Amino acid sequence: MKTDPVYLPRVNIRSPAELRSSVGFTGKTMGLFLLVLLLGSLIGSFYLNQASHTAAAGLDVLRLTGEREQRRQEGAELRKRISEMEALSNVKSRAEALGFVEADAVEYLSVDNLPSELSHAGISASPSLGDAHQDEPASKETVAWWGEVIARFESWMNTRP
Amino acid sequence: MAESKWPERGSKTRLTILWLGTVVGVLILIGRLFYWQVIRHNDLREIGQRWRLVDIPIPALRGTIQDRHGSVLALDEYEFEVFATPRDVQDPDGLAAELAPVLDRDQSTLVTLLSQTSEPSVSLVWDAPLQVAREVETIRDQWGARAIGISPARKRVYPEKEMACHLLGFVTYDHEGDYDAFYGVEEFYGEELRGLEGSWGGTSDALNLSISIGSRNVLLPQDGRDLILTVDRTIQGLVEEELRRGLSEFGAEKGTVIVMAPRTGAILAMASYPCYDPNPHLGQEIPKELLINPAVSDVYEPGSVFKVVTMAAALDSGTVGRYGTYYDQGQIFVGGHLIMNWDRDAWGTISMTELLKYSLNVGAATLSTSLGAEGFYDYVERFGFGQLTGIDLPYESKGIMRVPGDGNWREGDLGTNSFGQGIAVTPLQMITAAAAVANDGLLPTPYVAQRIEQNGQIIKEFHPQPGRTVISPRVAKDLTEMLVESMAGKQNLSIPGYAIAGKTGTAQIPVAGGYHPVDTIGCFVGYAPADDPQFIILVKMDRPRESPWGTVVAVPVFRRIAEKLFVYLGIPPDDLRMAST
Repeated sequence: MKTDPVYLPRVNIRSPAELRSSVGFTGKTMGLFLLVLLLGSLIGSFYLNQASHTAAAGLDVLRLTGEREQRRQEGAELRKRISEMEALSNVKSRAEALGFVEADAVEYLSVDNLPSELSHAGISASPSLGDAHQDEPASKETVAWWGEVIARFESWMNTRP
Repeated sequence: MAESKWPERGSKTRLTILWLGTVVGVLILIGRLFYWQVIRHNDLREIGQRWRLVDIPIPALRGTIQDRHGSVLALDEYEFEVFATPRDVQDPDGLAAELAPVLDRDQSTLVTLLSQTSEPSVSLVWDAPLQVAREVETIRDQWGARAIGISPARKRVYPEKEMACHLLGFVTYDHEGDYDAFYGVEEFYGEELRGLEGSWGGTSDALNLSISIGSRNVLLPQDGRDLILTVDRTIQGLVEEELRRGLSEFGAEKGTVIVMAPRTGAILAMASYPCYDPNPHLGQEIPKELLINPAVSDVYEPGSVFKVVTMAAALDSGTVGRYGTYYDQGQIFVGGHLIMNWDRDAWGTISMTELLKYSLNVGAATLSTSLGAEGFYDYVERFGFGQLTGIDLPYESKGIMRVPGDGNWREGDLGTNSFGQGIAVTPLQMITAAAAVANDGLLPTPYVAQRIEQNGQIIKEFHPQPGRTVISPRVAKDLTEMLVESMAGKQNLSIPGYAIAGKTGTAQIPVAGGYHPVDTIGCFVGYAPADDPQFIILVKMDRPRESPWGTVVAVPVFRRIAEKLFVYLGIPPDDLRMAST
């Protein structure tokens, strides 16, 4: 009876010594492998360390940003409270509650030999326009009298019936 | 019988079908992958970013507005919206019980809101103050209730409430939700006051928690700049108090008072009544006519106060001298238009000072016709009428003035305009023109902003503009003395120790077809000390019931304000002041 040929897998049988040399598990290779593993671990650890620090710093930034915003809000609230307390109506009512009254009679006293800069201290409504309009005639009285004479003469000339 | 080494034809078909099916399936898979990863790439990326990327705006505070001494008139504060995402609320009843006393809302209402799982977000309170927001944060942290959110928003606050409302304007959210300014310096200096909004952009996880090492973009907000005005809050306060008192005392419908430093044009106070509280209130509706600043936008016929301009023009042009006279016959025709004095009387020989004192229309018309139309209107324009004053406030009106050459100018206008009729001016134009007389003939440019600061550093400073010469200093001095003389003896104006230069006016109110038979506008403009004016005040009272005359209704208001200003500004009586110089 003819049968089909049986195809059997090839088996390469080697001796143990041949096996050891083909796989190559020498000490050098192992050392190299361990070195690579160590370096990889170091780099990985370094990366993880940096990443965790960055994450922590990021959380700090988030926290500080939130705190900054809180301080701004509290600052705005305080400014509002101060301005309300300083409001004119509030100051007036507090003054009245403390017994202050509006001055109804003011008496001015003339002080001899007062330094000239102090005599202008109270007039603060108009910041000066530099030295405009500051020229003073040598004798105001003389000029005023002469000016009046001229003005009366002019008006006499121009008077219409 | 030998077994066939090949599969049967039926099996081959099944294999083929299986193979084709697999191929089709793979193709479909590839097609779907292509659709989602290539065609829909941008859409999905956007959706992913929307869920992942966070961009939170950080509002910038608007700059403050302060008076010349640093008192705050307007500033921003924060208010907070407390909202919830109902789908994430675990225990609506318990949470509502905690929030109700803090938010000052009914618990059952809160439960209803927190239970609306069909809504992505519900607002619990939209204007909570800072204290309440902090308490809500505490509750949220204690409960771990990520469903509760707090969103800050700005709110403009005016601590002085109604004070200087027309001058300041107001800020509110418009219909499009933008925070914007309307009227007053808030609008005029909007660019300077408005800050730059910041933002915090980063990535968040599925729980909406920020990923600290994701991409981030923080832009710090830049708060707006502060505006310091020339206005003095104390003067503004006393002016408003006296204006309200005067309106009540004389039964006037409305009024305006302006106080200016005539040498520089700095506005020390600007008050009009009725006014409004610019602080935003829920449901508040302010009539639009209240928002407009009457001092710069409303026009009126100034009446006899305008005689100051006519007299200045006549003196400066040489038409008449200070001691000149004319003969008053009680009436004069100008361009066919009959002009009479207020009392219909003829006054005979009248000096220029008496013309002002008795406020004679015939005299004023005599001067304007003597000056001639060209000369008269040249001076009127020199005094700033028919033009903007240049004040740094919005919606200023030029007034209404007909001049020769205009189609509707009549020769009769030359007569009537001389005593302030047939010409419409703003209160600001009138006080500025009178300030030219007080300022030795130089027309000042009024202004309200003194400087702009940022964090205490001066960014921009506004200086008084050099005025243009309107009349000579000599004429200004003469006219001042005439005005002082004309006011002498007026009991309700007299302030012992002080010489005050001023002019009263009683103007009729134009209506269709002529003038109102009864209603008037009583006004007065005056400055002091006469020899060295530190302030000029205009008082205008509309439709007073107690008396139509400006000398009765406006002068007392002026006097009361001036009395207080002498004390506040430390201006001693004239004899003491002159003795010390």
